[in-house]
Amino acid sequence: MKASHEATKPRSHKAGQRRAAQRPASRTHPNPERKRRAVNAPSLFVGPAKALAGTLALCWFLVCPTMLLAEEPPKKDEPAQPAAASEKEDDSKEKEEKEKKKEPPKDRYFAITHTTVHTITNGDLYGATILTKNGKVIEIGGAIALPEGTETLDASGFHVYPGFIAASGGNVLGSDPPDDTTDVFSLNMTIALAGGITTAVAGNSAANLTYGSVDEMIVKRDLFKSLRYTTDNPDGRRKIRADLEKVRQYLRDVQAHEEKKKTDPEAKEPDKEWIKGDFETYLKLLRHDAVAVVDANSAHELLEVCDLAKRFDIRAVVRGATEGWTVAPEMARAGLSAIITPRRTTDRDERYNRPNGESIENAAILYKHGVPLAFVPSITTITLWGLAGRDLLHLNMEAAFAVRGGLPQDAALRAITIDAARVLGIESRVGSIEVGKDANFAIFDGDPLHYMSLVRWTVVGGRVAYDKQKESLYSHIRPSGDRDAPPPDDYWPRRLGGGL
Amino acid sequence: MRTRLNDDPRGLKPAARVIRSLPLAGSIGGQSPPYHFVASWLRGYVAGVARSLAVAALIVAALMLAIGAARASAGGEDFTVIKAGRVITVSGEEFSPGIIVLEGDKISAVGKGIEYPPSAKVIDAVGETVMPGFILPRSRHGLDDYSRSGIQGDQIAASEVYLLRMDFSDLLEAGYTTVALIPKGSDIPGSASAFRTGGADDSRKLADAAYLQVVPEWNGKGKENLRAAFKKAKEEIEKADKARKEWEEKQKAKKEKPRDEKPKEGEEKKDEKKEDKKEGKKSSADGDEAGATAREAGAAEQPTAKAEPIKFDEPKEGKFAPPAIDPKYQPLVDLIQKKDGARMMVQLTKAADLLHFDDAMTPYEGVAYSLYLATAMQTDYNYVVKQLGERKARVVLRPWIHRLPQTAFRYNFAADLVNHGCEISVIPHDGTRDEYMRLRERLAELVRSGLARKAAIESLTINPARVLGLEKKLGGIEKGKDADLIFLNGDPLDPQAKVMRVMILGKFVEVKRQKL
Repeated sequence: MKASHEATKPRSHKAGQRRAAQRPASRTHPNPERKRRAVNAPSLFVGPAKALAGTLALCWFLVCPTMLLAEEPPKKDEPAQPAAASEKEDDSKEKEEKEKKKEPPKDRYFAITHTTVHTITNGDLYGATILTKNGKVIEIGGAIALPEGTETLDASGFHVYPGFIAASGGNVLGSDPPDDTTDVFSLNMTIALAGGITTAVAGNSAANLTYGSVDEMIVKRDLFKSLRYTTDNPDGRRKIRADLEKVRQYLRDVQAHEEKKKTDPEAKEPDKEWIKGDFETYLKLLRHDAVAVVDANSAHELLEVCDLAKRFDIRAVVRGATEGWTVAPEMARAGLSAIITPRRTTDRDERYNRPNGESIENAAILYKHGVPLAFVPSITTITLWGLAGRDLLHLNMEAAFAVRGGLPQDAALRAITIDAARVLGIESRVGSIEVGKDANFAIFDGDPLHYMSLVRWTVVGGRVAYDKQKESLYSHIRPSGDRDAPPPDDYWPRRLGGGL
Repeated sequence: MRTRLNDDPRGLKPAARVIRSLPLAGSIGGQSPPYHFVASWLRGYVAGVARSLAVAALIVAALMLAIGAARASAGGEDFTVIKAGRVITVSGEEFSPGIIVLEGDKISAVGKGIEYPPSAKVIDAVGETVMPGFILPRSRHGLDDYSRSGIQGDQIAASEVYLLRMDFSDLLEAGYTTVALIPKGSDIPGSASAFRTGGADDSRKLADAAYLQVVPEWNGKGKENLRAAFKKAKEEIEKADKARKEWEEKQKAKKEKPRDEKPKEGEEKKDEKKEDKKEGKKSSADGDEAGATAREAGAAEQPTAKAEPIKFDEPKEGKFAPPAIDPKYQPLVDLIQKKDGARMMVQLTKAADLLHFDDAMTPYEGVAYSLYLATAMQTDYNYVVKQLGERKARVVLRPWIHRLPQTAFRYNFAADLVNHGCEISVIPHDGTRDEYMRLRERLAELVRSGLARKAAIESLTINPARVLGLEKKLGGIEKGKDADLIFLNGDPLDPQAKVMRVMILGKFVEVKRQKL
């Protein structure tokens, strides 16, 4: 697996608070929008208005240079124009209006205020605000000055978590590629969002559940190279090993050639015509440009994968790993990570005089040995019968079950957020609340691992994609998060979807 | 003699049969006793003279006709006046009572108490409502179950249509005077062709390629294929532009430096000849013209759709011949270049498809399109109705009262579209006579629950005409438009009202009614 580091280091919340204290008292900051409006005002008032805007902006620049790095470079401050230049200005006004039409769409700011933020990677913040711009987190802190026109969501009393990641998407997204086929108004997507899921895997791509929009869905294409390395396929396994060996020999030849070239510039390059199709895949695997995914559940299958990964030094993810708890040290040493279902049930096979079958401690043991984990439910789709609690809607319950088996609570949460992102190789985009990452949040009315907690809002790409009170899935249960409140009398007829 | 008797029970001799076919004999007609009398009389006395008599009669008739025609052309006027109880013009106000003046097959005036030449033929429709004939913007009426997939821009539905075999009587009975027949299949199966449902055969075809039919498989490779098709079309354009540029540069160079490489030119000429043979007429025409003719000729030629290799050498005249554009992509090229009359109809199946369509078409602004919203009882287009309204979308749909997704809530989608500023055209639910006949009733249902009456009438007439690009010819009663009219014995939105008469190009056509 990739070394565990964050792509972008978030600023600590303390730093944010400090910065906020230095800021001017006004909560709106003089953003470029405001300046432009001042220029369009009647000519008599242009001077003072501009000057005011200019000075405000100047103050801002002086006070907070770090903030500006994330913003657009400001326009040059023009000196206040005399009133006599009004004729010229008419022309320039027209020009400006024309330019305005051509301008790209305005920046979209969205903030969640007065809330408890569980960043996952950097601890918890209380009474904090998250500011997002165009679908990315740009600031997290105590008292952040919000730009004018920011859409705010007051989530006081609620808990903001990074959106959950379903390492297998089922029917939430369309077929691969999901940005071509997904029905972004589907009920399944709404249900997944109601479960706090904001990123899912479809085929071999990971995509955000951007409800009502098909823009910027894709998080990563080509997640894995799938290897069929099961025990019922001995010939196939032999072939994979032989091919990998062949490609590795090629890599050695390349290395030798480079050495040789130093002394003999006309040395012959090793033939690379044959590196196509599967061989190309293997080349990528051996160069650590790709990650293999292997389905393996029983101990002997897992050991085979361990052997393969160690022998060829390739990165691999195991899907299943029901008996992982019996071979956890070997898996950890081979550098495998695992996508597991903590509630998977497999009966013990009495023929073997060794521990086998499922264990409630599977996740805990694997975690203890340092195998990175991602959780998926046993049914990786949204189903009606999944309302019993085994489908994608209950990803958090899957994690909670692992806690029952001894997994630390925070590790269970990580297994459906940042660790899942790492297993999929998308940790630079999603999985935690950090500056620079996607603005995907699941806002709970309590601990997400508690069976009574419900998602109040789900935010994807800086847009509210699910609002419990507007969808009839759970709107009748504890409105506004108050656990003691009685259900409303008139929640029938229920209506799904916003729209009309 | 026996066999002859078997052939004809009356046992007439050939000469007598000729006589029988004459009007004189026809008036006696049938198997009545006088006929036998006359026949035997003819057989007895005039059989020998019959042929010459028939010829004489024909000559006289022809003479009469010629004189009549001469008289008509001398006046230069062929006016018909319809005195209607009510005229729904669609394009303008309603007249009740109203007068429509036709000149030949065109409408020349409409109004209340307007003057008309005394020589005009008067049609009395005082008890009837006259309105423009309905237009069906997409149908597979009477066509075989034949479909094709992939990018087939050069195909047209007209190639599947054999007018001799087509039976439009169900459509006529329901009041349709125009129908656009579509090619069946996924991706881009070809262009729809518009036909009149009646009238003289040579006036039946209105357009070979009214619009390009686009049916992406939105749950599968549809978006990818659509994107790829337009990309390929754009590449074709770029290819032609590049060739033109290089040719121009070559010309310049030639002017500056007269020829010095003779052998090479000889080779070029050989190549030219080969290419000419391959391309036929097209290489001589200019690029745009070639495209247009390809579109018009369409099915007749069935061009072999193989992209020609790029050739930059010019013909002998010194005129630039652009590289041939793959005919399968020609309509897409026309769409991107916003050519006059180039338009497409895109089929959507759900709300999200609109977003995917927009996403795929982002690089191609201003492409003319209408949308066919395939719907089921439960539909989720309510999520994008605002977006449809903002772009004033031209929408074809089936008139339902829908249900909102996952609910039993009734939703008048058509009315909502109109309220948001869309232009709707409605089509029957399927290709059966029952649905043709029920369409006005279904529309009336929509009107009863909120659809504007004006929009409902337009959805059958002028709006589908716009979808087909025939709005200058059809879809309203105003000066200069074709006299394709229907006569109803009541309001068109009254389910009890029937289409009594149908006029196509100023002449009544026979409406076969199914007896109930």
